[in-house]
This record gives sequence, C-alpha cells and structure tokens, in this order.
Amino acid sequence: MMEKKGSPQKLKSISVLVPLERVQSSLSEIGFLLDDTVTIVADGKFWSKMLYVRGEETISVSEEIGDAYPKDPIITICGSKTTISKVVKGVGG
Amino acid sequence: MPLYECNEHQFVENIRRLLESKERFLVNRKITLHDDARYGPATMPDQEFERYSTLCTRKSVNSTVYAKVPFVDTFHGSRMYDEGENLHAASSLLYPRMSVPYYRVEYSVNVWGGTYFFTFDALFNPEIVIEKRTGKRLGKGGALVHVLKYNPPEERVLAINLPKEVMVFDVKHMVRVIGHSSNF
Repeated sequence: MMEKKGSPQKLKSISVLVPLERVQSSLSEIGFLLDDTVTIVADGKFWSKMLYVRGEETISVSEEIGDAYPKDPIITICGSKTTISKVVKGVGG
Repeated sequence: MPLYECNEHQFVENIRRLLESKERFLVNRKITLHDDARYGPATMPDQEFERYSTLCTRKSVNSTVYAKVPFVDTFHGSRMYDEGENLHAASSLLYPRMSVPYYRVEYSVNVWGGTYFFTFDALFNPEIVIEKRTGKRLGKGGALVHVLKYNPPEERVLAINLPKEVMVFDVKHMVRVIGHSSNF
C-alpha cells in the first residue's frame, strides 16, 4: 500500500470532528505507524502531537488535552457599592 | 512589515496554497530552549500530569501539587525536593516551584511583504529513575532516591511535515526591518 518512491509529496491540513481512536485506526489500516509523541502548547491549549510515518510520508495528529493557563474570568459589574463589595469578597479579591 | 499569527492548520494550509501557486518562498524555523517556569505540574492536563505521578500528587487540575516522595531534579542543578513539599501552589499558579523546560518552535514564511508565523512550545519529556545519590541530605554513603530527568523531544516530532521541495532554514533570530535603515 506504500506510495511509489519519488512520487511528489502534497500537503494538507484538516480539522476533524471524530474521536482520536478512529483517526488512529484509519491511519493504521493504511500502514502508518506511530513513531513519536510530544506534548505541545499552542493557542493556549495543551496538545498531544503524534507523528505517524510510512516510508517517506509523515502524518501528524494533534489532539487537544487541556487548557494551558488557568482561565481568569473577567467580571464586569454594573451594580451598587454593596454588590460590588460582595462580589469582590466572594471571589477572594 | 505586517506580522500575521496562524495556528498550525492555517499555517500548513497557507503553505499548501503557496505550493499550488508555484510561488517561490522560504520557510524559517527558530527553536529556542526556555526554562522560565512557564509550565508547572498544577496546570498540566491529567494526561501529562500522569507522567509525573510517581513523584507528585494533586486532587485535580489547578490544585496544589505536593511531592509524594523525595526526589532530585537533575535539570535544575540537582535540586532536591522533600516528601510533602509544595511543588506548585493553587494560589500561585503562575509561579511553580517545580517547572518543565521546553522548546519554543517558531515557523515563519515571508510572502509579498508580510510575515506569517506559527509558534508552539514543546515540553521536555520526564524520565523518572531511582539512583544512588550522595549529598548533604542523603548522607556520605549515599542513598537510593528518585531522580527526575528531562529529555528534549526529538527534532522529527517538532517539525511540521512539509514536502521535500520546501526549503526550511534554521535561524537564530529574526529582525523586523522598517523602511531601509531602522530596525527594532
């Protein structure tokens, strides 16, 4: 199933809404093997980046595994002084 | 010269479009080592934290992390942590006491006077072993102790997959030029 050596390489990036397991089994079916994994942080999120290899072809699959930074909600209050005090106190300010 | 930030999907698709247009271009890559306490164990997602579970414990993401056993961090000058020591406090998430070094990888391409770039951080891989170590706290005769080592990720997994005809130049620094004489 391996492509002929020397055939031109093309490039494509796709974003899919299917579980990782399905992507992995699909790659496995066409002969791509997992070569290495790294944890990266991009766009404020942690990703597990997996490199699959088949001959000279490579496919990387990045799966989001969590947020990189603690999310700081921004609270905008339009209310009384008491309300503001209560909210500020309530969030530990 | 405008700078445009892309995510990986956008960056790769932009390069694909350039390739299809037969436009000549060059991709620059800069890889730098950082150890600035940006990533600590409290903020890691569970999947990544699991790799440190021999050494430390926490209730959930963003909870305080404590050392389960005494251990030595060889990357940071063989710093020793005691059992029960606070490694990353929930009240101080931006300032972890135990942190993970990383490579910052920046890919950029210059086209028609604009620079399009994609940046990501690749965390070093933890390796936990038990070794006999000596020192003030371990005695002259030495003692067996957990040792945390950080291994850099392999270059092949840091690379963006690009066809062979795309030239990638490694660079140390990028200076942005305004006009003909000034730079910043």
